[in-house]
Amino acid sequence: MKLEIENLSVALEGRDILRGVSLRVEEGEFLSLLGPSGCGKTTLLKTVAGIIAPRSGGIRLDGEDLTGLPPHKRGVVILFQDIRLFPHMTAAENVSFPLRMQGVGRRERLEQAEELLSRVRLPGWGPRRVESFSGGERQRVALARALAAKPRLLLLDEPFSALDENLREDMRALVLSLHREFHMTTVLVTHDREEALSMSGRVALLFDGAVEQCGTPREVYLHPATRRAADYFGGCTCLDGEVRGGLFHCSLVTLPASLPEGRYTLCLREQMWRPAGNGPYALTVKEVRFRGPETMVALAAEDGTLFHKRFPGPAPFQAGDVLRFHLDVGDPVLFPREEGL
Amino acid sequence: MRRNVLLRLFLAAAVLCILLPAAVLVLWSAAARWSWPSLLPERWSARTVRELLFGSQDLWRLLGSSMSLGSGAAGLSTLIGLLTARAVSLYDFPGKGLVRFAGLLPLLIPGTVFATGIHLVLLRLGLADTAAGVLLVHVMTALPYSISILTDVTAALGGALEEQAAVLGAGPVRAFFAISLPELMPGVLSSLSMAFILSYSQYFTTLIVGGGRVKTLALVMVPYIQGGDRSLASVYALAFTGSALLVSALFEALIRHWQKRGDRL
Repeated sequence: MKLEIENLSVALEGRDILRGVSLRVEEGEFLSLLGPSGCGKTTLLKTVAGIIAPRSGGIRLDGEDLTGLPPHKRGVVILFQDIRLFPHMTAAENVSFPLRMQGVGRRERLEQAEELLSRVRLPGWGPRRVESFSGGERQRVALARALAAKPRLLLLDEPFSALDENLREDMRALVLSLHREFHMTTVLVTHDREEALSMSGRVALLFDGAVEQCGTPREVYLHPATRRAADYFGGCTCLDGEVRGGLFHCSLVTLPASLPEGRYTLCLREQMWRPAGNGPYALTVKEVRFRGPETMVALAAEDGTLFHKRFPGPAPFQAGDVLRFHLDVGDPVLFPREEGL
Repeated sequence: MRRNVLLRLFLAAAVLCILLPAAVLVLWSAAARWSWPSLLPERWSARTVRELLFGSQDLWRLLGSSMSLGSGAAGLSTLIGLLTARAVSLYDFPGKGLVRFAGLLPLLIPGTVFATGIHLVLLRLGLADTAAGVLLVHVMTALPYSISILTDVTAALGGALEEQAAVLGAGPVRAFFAISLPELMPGVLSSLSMAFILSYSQYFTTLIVGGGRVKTLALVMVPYIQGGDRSLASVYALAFTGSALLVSALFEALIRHWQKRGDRL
């Protein structure tokens, strides 16, 4: 089902939470809503599901206007961060709850529940009470329950954030395989950049209740539309300079840039620095932090600009070492200079 | 281990505090003559039981009116309490603080003042000396307790599960009955028992508002206690306690049955 959100504004307790959000999610697409906490991601999901009433704007699902419909008639299911299983029911009763609401007979819905439970790798767990389940097991029951509703649109509200790191990877893989299998239009809310980039077909960046940028993971990461979008993904250093005669000049590099003349900011990502014994840039190691699979090294250029770069494994550097690098800027990311920053 | 012992001691003390007076009631109701310093009655008699069952007061009618008043008050007070609790803990509206305060107001006003005042109002409404008037006053007496018990459990449960049920296709009424109510049942049971026992033991308000025409077990029992016939007072007290316990057990059994049926649906 195709979701179209148009110029949606929501205010809660007199405070503007969403300011004119417009977004399209295509049939069968997996879209991530990425943004810092408090940016309005969860409010957007709840508004689409009908739990919160918008102040203005439209929500359409396959052309049908949803704005006047109560939540239980929208066919939009949210999988909440806090899981929300019904504690007085067994796993199978939880999973079959949406079917019970649709009037499916007891035997048939319990059969379907067992089938769905085995899809989320909990075969035969139906008769157990959910109170004794672990976090990951609860999350999988909740996922099966959401699928049982056969939603027109599935909304996932940070479903992995309450789980252990190991479990999280498992659940992500499970969600993706179920998405491929059921081909359900899905929106995932997350503040985890890697999760958004690795799971979805498109990423929408939400800042302060408005969509900052929306595109494929490569687009939003490699070509951030604003400085804020670039900063959010981290690992980037911004250098101020200016464009004159088709060239961008700053203290470190000069690059071709077909932009109108003026003051610009160049955004450098850590992976643009390539270590090479004969490289033209000499950077001094300022700090080394070992983090297990990688080591984070802080490097200073001659003019004092600080960069952070991750090296695989336990990198053999210490503070004071001088390393040489090439700088491969590729397609440079330049923003008009924002004064006051 | 140590805590276990303390807990057992406490339980034993509590049981003693309840069972010992009850045992004394049993002895008194069967005593024909029991004077100081005898440890046990000197002569026994079944006079009080005969008086209770076949005496001047019709026990079954008394029990019937007391129990129906009590159950009615319990049901109404719990229903109104549940609606108030939901309004106060799940919704925002102007004057919410006032509603909360007004719900607790009957606790702050002395019973005598309340009964005299409400009697005047009921006289005007034509409800004085009627069972409906007494029921109304009993509900008002029990309401603060029901509201505060049910507000606590409703606020603790919150609206999150109903939200989840709604997006899974349950309308508001079904979401409440299928999801919230089973979770609230312990609170509902407390409220029912509390309201029942409050209504069951009302004396002063029943006397004033019912004008002596609405007879309850408590109304008949109190003069015996004051009149000095300890044996008769004791047998009434036993009947009173026994019937109240019976109704509480009945409430619990009904709710268990309802929950089992809910599971199978």
